[in-house]
Amino acid sequence: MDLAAAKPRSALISQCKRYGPALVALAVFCGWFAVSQHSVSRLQNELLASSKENIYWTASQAEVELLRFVGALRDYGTGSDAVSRADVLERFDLLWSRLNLFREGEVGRRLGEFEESVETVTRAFAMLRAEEAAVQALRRGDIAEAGRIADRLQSLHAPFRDLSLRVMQAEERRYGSSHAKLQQRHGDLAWILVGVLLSGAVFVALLVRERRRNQRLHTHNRLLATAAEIANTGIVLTHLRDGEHVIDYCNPHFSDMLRRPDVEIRGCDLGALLEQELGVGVGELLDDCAARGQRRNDSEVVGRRDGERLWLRFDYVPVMSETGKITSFFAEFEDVTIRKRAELTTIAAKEQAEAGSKAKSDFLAVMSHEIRTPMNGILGMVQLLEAGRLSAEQRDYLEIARSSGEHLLQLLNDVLDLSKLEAGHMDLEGSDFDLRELVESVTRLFEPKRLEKGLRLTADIPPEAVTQLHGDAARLRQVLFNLLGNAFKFTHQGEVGVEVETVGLYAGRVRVLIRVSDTGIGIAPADQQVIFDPFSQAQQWLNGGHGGTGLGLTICRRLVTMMDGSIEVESEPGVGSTFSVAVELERARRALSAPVKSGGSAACESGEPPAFARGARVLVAEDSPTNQLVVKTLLQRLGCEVEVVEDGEQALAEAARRGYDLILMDLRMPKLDGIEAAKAIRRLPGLAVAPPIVAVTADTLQREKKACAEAGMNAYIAKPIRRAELERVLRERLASRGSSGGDSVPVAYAAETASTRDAASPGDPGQRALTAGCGI
Amino acid sequence: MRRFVALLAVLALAGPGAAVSAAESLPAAADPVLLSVSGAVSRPNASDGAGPRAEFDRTMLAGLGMQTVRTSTDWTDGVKAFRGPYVRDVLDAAGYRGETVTATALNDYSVEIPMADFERYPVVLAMEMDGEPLTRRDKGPLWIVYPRDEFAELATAETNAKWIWQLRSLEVR
Repeated sequence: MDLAAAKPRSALISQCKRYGPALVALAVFCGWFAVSQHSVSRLQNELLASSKENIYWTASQAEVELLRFVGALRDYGTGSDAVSRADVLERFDLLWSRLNLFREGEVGRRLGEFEESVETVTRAFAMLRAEEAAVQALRRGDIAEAGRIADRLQSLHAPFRDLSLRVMQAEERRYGSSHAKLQQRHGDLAWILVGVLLSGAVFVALLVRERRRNQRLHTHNRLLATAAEIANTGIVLTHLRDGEHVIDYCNPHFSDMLRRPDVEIRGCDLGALLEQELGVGVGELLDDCAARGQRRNDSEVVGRRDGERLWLRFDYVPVMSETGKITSFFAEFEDVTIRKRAELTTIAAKEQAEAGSKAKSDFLAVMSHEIRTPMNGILGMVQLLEAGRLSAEQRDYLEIARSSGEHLLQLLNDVLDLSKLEAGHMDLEGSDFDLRELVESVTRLFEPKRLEKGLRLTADIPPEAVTQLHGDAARLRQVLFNLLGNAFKFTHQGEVGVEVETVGLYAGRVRVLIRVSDTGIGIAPADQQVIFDPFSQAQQWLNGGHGGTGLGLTICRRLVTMMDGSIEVESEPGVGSTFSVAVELERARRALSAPVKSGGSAACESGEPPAFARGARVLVAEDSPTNQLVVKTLLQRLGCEVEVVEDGEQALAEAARRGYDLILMDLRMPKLDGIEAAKAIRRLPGLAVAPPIVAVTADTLQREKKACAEAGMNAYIAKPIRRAELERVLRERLASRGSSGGDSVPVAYAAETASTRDAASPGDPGQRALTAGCGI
Repeated sequence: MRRFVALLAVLALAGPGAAVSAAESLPAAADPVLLSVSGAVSRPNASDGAGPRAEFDRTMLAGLGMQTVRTSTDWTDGVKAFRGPYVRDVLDAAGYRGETVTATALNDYSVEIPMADFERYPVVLAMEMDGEPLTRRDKGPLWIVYPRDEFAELATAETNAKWIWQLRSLEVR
């Protein structure tokens, strides 16, 4: 493990700080010791040098030789046989050589330091030279001459004796003082040694402490190292050198990741290595981290290994010293390829599912169109036939054909509604409406049924109720219609009642409670649990012998849920049922005008073409010959002047050729579809009056409505086209004929109005309301 | 290294000398005797009551091979060139058999010198100083001179005491 190899240099500095005082003390004491030791050795050398040649000996020997010579001279003078002439001369030479010692070398120099020495020796030499001839000439037994020479030389004895005494005293003094100094130095040395020992002891203590600390660090390091060894992410330590992120350490996971042994990884530049091995470009991140001293990471770095894509999560963190200097970097890599692949697979699956869902939704739209178009033809023809002269029997047959067709449409609409609800394609719309009018219009629809079954129908809406509301009126109507439909279906005597309660809430919100009660056959408790579930047994039972898909309550619950509301049932078999719907709506955003009284019935009753449509020029763009016939006939009966074209291109040409009061535009046509044709017409230059364009379609999807509004269309009629609805749209659109060209009534508003009006028309009201609600 | 060279020199000179000494005794001194070696000597050329002696005159000493040692001394100024035979050659010539030499001067000063000194160092029996014969007035005629400048360990009081001048006799024991 080489985590320690990345040891910061600052550690050295901190160690110096820690040991500094002890080291300095040790160095000072050692230096002092060396100096003292040197001084001691110098003193010792001095002592040795001085004792090397004892100058006192030299001085005293001169005195001795002087006395010896004088002695020999006197003996020779007495004629003694013990002393020869050669002996005398030898003694003379020896004395001479002794005196020579005072003049030469180190010994001579030291003796010369004594004042009397030079004088004495000079005098002695002078005397020896003076006496030399006399000594040579002396004969044995010449006692008088020998005595004279001896006496003369004897006078030198006192000065030499004094000199040697002086030298002895001086040497003793010098020796003594050197010894004293030496002793003092030795004393110093002892103290210095104590100091050295003390500071050494402190140093050793510090070292021991440091060693313990190091051991702890080492243990800690090993723990960290083990953690790095077993980590499931790639861990790398680097340091910066000449702009390169040199790898000091990598854990086994990292080397596995690169499929290279760590010895080949260490020392490499991290950026270059990743680029080379994995095709991962993180060089800029690394440099940025080094430049700003801030952690850098990337959740997804994409690379390539063994020809397959590789995702890495990457983290690069600068490691700072205590002084804030970056000493090294810590890098972590996690291979997130598996997770990333799973993510991508999930996304792909989701996209696929969405594509499938869209295909289904499109299929429903197409189916809707494909079934509605022929139904439109059938019902249109039935309508045309009904207007003719018929026998009672024929009229019954026609009525059966019509109701069967309407029934088929209802089944289709229920299934489409549920599909849309399940697929989440149903969007709520918001507009202001009057709840009282809504309830009244729906109950009016059931008037024929009520009369047929001999039931009572009551609608109870308190005067203080808040009825000016904002919400999706069409969906609310659908719910109410369904509940009333069921009530009438299962009630054979007694009454059906509608009660409305409203509770004002905060921030302009209103809780609306609608209760539909009956005195019908009721629902068994077990069945109450499942009647809202689609395709349940209870549904089948409810449905039994009554026609319909039995999806009504399911659709109701979905719609109410979408409005953040709830629907509940209370029922007792044989006594009756009560369905309660609670939804939250907003208050109306602006005051509603007085409800428009139904005007359609007048036209129906009279059988005369209404005045508003008389003479109006209407262009019909429709590719189906059946529908062409139906629409053309209906329009002509209303007194319109009708031109029929087969596709969008012709419609555009015709619209450009002459001014029309209104254009009925089928959305699905060959060559140029209704939306594109409408856009083109809206772009036509030079049209004095832009005619209102009314879309005609079997498509019931929300986005179609939006597309129509965007294309500049003004209203919307669902197939199959009913006379009443056609009449209503014409009334609205042609009312402004001759005034302004454009009509600004939005599609949504027109659509809602459509269902309101439609509900007032004769025939099976429920079917129509549903068709209008769903189709728009 | 120097010691090694010195040892080689000793071996080279002692070899033939030893061979000669075993063959014949020392010839008698013709000129005045400068040095007499007494005691354990195997090649004496003189004898008296005290025992056999090997006596050397100036010619005999010079004939043992004049060597030069340059050194400073405590008793002279500057570095002097001392010439004379190696002491060990003189002792070899006398056929010595012993460990110690007692050297005695004219003034009866005497000092004991271990034989090892002569074997270890090229100690000369100086007869000349700077080309001039040593006289009695100038520490002559014979002065035992140690190569003090060459061997630092010789600059001691103990060695100084062995620099015996006006040497008269050696007694081998």
